Amino acid sequence: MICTSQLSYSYEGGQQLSFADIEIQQGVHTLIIGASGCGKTTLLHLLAGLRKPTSGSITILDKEITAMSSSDIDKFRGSNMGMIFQVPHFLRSLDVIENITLAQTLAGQDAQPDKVMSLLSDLNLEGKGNKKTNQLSLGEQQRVAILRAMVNEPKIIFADEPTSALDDANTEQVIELLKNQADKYGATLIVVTHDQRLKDNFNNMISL
Amino acid sequence: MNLLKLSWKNLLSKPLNTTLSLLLFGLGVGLISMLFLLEDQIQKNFEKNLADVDLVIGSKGSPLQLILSSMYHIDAPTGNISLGEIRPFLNPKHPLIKSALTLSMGDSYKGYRIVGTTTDITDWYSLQLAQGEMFIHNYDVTLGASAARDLQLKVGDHFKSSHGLVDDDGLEHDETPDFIVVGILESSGTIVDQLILTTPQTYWHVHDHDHSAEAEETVSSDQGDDHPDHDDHSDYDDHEGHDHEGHDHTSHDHSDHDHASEQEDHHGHSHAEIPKPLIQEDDDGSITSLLLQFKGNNFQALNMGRSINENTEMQAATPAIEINRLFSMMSSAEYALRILAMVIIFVSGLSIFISLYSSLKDRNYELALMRVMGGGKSTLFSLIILEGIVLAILGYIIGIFLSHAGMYIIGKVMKEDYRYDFTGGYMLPNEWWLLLAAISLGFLASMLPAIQASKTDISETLSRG
Repeated sequence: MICTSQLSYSYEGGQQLSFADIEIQQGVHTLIIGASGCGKTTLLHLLAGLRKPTSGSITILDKEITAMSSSDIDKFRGSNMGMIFQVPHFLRSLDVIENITLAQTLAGQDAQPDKVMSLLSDLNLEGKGNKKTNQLSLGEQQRVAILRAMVNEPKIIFADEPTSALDDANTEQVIELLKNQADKYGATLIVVTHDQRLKDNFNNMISL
Repeated sequence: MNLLKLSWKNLLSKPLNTTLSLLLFGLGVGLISMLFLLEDQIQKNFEKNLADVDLVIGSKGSPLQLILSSMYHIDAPTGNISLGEIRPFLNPKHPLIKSALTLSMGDSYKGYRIVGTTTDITDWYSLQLAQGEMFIHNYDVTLGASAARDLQLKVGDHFKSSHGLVDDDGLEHDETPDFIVVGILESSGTIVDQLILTTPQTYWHVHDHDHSAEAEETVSSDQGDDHPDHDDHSDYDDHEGHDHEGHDHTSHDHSDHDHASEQEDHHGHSHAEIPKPLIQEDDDGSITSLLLQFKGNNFQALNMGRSINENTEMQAATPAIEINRLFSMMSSAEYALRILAMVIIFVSGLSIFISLYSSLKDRNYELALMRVMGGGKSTLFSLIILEGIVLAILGYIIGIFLSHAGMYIIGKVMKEDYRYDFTGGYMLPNEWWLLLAAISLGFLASMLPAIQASKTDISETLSRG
């Protein structure tokens, strides 16, 4: 489902990164692990189409995204990929429901606040829908961010260091939640991290 | 959650910046729209009172003052002129003059001007009676619609006039008979709506009563003699020699109001008389000004004004020339205000620009996030442009509201001071152009921030966290 070939990226400073070819099958949750500064996040951004590689190609869901125009990639990402970051970010001027329905409209779908409400209660977030995101606890924010990544039922979920700020118990919970949600929507979860604690949670692992 | 709603929420989340931008924009738009409204309504007020007047004749002085007082009833009236001087113009057989209307001014009732004139005024201003009849006898008055409404006078009501044009009890003509309201006019949209109309002779009577020493003689001549030799005054030169120094009605000495002893003498005098046509009155009867309509704008008619100015003690003023002069005087003040409004609008555009531009730094991550969620560069561009345009449209609405509310208040004040109707209750075509200009400015001010937003390096921004 994800397939890269001879991928390399040059930073503006001239530093160059080359990545071994990657192939990830649909439904196989995968951990990409590596030390800080080895280019994990860069690889993730390349895979998500947020950066263009200097050379090489990336094929996702049988589409070569390295050959797409910038606006086509944006659309493709909006409807096929969900992204979760180490620290959850939201649009401050919007409440929880609006933040999630924004993900729907930006991906070209209709906003479905009712559906979002019921999804929120699935994640024990009932009653939080009309709150501003900064009124939520960090854990609640993390769950809203996960819900936002899932709401368009993407094929792939990219998670960038989702657990590095969490203690062991919370780490376990968040990873289980991610895997459950991914399974529920039939998405493939790809976690990029330096967090060695996650090794046991994944059958498929790529080391950089 | 569409972009318009998002841009609105973004503006709401920065209430101080948004308020400042809106106020500045509103002030600029308000000032410009106010100028449009004032210009339009002053022009309309002047135009609808033109009444096809070709020439105004009055005593020497400022021609603009003569026009303003005689046609628009806003400045103080000029001095009086005697009937002897203008009699030729009243002759219906005059080869150049289609119609002539005499005006006697200077008195008022509760701030509403009393004008002594003839019933010909109905043709000049296309007046229709709403109730009662036109003034026939001395001391009969017919009221303009606004005057009747604001003074709450009905047909049959009595009142006393006062000298001068301000509402002042001390100047009331105490010893004169009451005026009687005999009719009320339909609203004509002209200045006549604000006037109290009566006969020219009533003016003479009122001032005779105040100056009884002179009055004896004048009253007897008014009542008694027929003056048959005055019936045919087609020749102006015949009367150049008539100099009635002894009957100077124009110089009223108000320090000398002690006429109580003579008051009794005049009660026998019948005020309900029907006055003679002015052309049959004595040469020494005075009026304030004379409005003329020509039969056509031929060369002789055009020369008449100049000839009056050069050869007589009177002056003639052409409304079109004086009003143009007035407009050109106003237009320089208007120009200065317009520049000021432009500066305010420019600053408000700048404030929108700065507010949007500085917000980009705070929102870098949010913009990157929108890209991650599938929004393209054009989405971010549109979002920022929308914020600028929403600000501009709201600012425009505030400005239009301010100017129209201001116009409403000015209208109230103007009505009290000048008896002129101003209103804020309609939109001018120019104001729709102003909306277009406002939207363009909003677009321009937000363009650079919008381009900046669309160029946000998402990967870089996300990596920084």
